Amino acid sequence: MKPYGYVFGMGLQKALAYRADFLLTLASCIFPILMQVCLWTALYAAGAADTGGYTYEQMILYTLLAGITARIVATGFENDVAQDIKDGGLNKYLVKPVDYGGYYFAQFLGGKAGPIAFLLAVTTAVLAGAAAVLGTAFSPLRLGLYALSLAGATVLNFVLFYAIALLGFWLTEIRQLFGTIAIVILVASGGVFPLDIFGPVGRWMAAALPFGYTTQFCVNIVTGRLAPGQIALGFAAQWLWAGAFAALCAVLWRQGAKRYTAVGG
Amino acid sequence: MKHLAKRLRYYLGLLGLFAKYSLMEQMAYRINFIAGIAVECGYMLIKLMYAVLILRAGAEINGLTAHEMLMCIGTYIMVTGVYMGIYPNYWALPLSVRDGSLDMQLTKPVNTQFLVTLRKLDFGMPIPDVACGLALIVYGWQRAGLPVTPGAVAGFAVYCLAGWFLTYCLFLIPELLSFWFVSTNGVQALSSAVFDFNNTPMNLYPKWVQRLGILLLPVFLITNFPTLYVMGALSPAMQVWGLAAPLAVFGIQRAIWRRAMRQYTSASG
Repeated sequence: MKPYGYVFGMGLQKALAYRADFLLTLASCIFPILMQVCLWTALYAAGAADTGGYTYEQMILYTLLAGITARIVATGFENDVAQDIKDGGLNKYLVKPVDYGGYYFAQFLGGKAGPIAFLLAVTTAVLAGAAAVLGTAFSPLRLGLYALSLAGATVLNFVLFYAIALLGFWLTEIRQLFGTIAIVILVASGGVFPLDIFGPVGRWMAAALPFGYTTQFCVNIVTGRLAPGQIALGFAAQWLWAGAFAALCAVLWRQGAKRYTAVGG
Repeated sequence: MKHLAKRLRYYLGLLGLFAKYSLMEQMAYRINFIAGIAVECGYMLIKLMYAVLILRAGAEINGLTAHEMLMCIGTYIMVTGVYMGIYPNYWALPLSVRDGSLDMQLTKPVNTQFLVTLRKLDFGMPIPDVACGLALIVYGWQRAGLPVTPGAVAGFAVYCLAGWFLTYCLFLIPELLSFWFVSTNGVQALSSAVFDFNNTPMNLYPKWVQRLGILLLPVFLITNFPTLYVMGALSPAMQVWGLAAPLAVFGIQRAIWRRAMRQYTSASG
């Protein structure tokens, strides 16, 4: 485990190297949240919102938390993996006594540690604000389950995007498509709007596909939309999907490594 | 005047050449071309979700009907498409400052800003945005029952052009910060987020946000003014401001550009 600890440390240092940049990037996620709060406020005020059963308070809370949650679980390493495969950068990892996926996971967690700590502080402030302004009560149990679901969501999102990145063994120009894939997954995860508001299809997408378990499931634990049984089922689905994608990554890696041709010396 | 016309013809000719070479380059890598369209379709999906929500609500909000709001969103999608056509240049600017490849551009006998911001034109990314934006505008215009007169169409087109020019100037400013800072990702993310305020019409925002977005950081002019003009909802003062603001921002952007050029020392210098 020692090498991975060092990689974790390197990821942490890298993330903290451009603090102002990080804070500005974080500030940028305030605007879409503010925009959506204004949109929902106007729609609810006009009595015209078709919201799949969300009360105004639940919708505002969802908007606030989904923006933060999507940021917490966001990846961003997939370009590096695809580049390694395409340009031969993978060579240096193949001769090292480390697992490539484990290396990136440690680096991913290291890079995430600082931002997650900060974002959790923001989440706490949001929840305190929601309790004061919207009058919403949060039980410690639900908050604890939310934190637990975030851990599962982070792992699930990592293996999901790692599997997509490994397609670089077969598709040399996949990097351009990462933007599209990331946006479609963001929408399908409920990171923009809750999927429930799009009727039965949206509800089916949230329950049957893996994406909803990275954002919507976590947020709805806090908004109180899920009964205890649904939460338990959600956790099971979240980790089952994570396991399934981890297995898929292992298969993709084995098959991909066989056809990989090292470029350069 | 004659000299000005000659210069304009010269630069239009250059722009034509840039377009030709960019198209040839993109046709050489067709998968990338298609991938560019796919990427933009992804972003368009999010913008369309806002349109769907507003259309489904179908209510009049703060003086705008759902179809008029659809026109605003359509304008935003279309202007975004045109902006994406030149975006590769914006994306490349910080990199060329960092690695010193801007040096070569400075030696060319043309205006450097013209060269740096318009050299590469993307023809793939604008396709879905412009097509979808136009479709939303036409549909919204027709369903809103607004007059389709030559004056209204011309006014709409003029404010769209002004909006695009404003976008060009306003969103070049964050890229220019790369002359002073190593990493500008944060500022770029922030400016994109501000631009995305146009995902919904400005009438959905509180008055103070509207004032900020019209007068201080005039992003709302880009996509709201064309529709408001057609509706006859723009006061004479706002009609003037809609055309003056892009020029004012252009002046500010040029001043920053000149300072940035003085600051530039080349990566190897």
